[in-house]
Amino acid sequence: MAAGSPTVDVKIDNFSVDPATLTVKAGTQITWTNAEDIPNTVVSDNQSFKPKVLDTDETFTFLASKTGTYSYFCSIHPKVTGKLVVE
Amino acid sequence: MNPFDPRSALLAKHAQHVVLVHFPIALFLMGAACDFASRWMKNATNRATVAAAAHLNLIAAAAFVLPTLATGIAAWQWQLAGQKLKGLLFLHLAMGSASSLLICTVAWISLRQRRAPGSTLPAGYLLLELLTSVIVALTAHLGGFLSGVNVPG
Repeated sequence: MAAGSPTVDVKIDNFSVDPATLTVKAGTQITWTNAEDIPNTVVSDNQSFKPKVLDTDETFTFLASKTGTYSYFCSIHPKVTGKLVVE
Repeated sequence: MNPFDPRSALLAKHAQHVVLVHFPIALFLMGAACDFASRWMKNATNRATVAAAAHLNLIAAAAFVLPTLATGIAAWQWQLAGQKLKGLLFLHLAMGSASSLLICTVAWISLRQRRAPGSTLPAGYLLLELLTSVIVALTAHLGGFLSGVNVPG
């Protein structure tokens, strides 16, 4: 990951992501943390990111280098969804 | 979701495993309950009827094991790209496999006894049914926990 890039944290907890919709500038690093005591994933609909399953307190970082809208969901709990907007 | 994409339609956001898994659980537990109940019945006709119901439930449970196992493995391979499982997911897979094996074993013993008139169920059969019921219940609890059904709130 690029050093010095702005970073934003997203938390997965209680079957939701917080914030559910996140708008960032291109070049921002987004880190998802699974704060639940069950595994979760964050998979973008267009497969731009598809990390391994995140156990409790595990994280996944994605460098948002391309502008666009990335809708994502947890493939274990499809009702857990979020949106990342990169400007 | 594209409704004409088989993978999306069958698994992506409508997990078939979660639907199918209820059938072997319910059928097996009902079969075991009927088996136990039949042992305490004094009326021979009632006992035979309930024992027959137990047998049919156990066979149906075993029949549902294959699609349940197949959809579970398919979800693992497609949704999670077959990645190495750990923690609760691995435990669920291991206990689900054990449950499948035990359900089929109990159903096979029941079937073998039915096909040989006059034969009796082996000693320890009820104990095996009880053990299987416990493993099935634990697996179901884990599955419910993973899917969020068993989580408080």
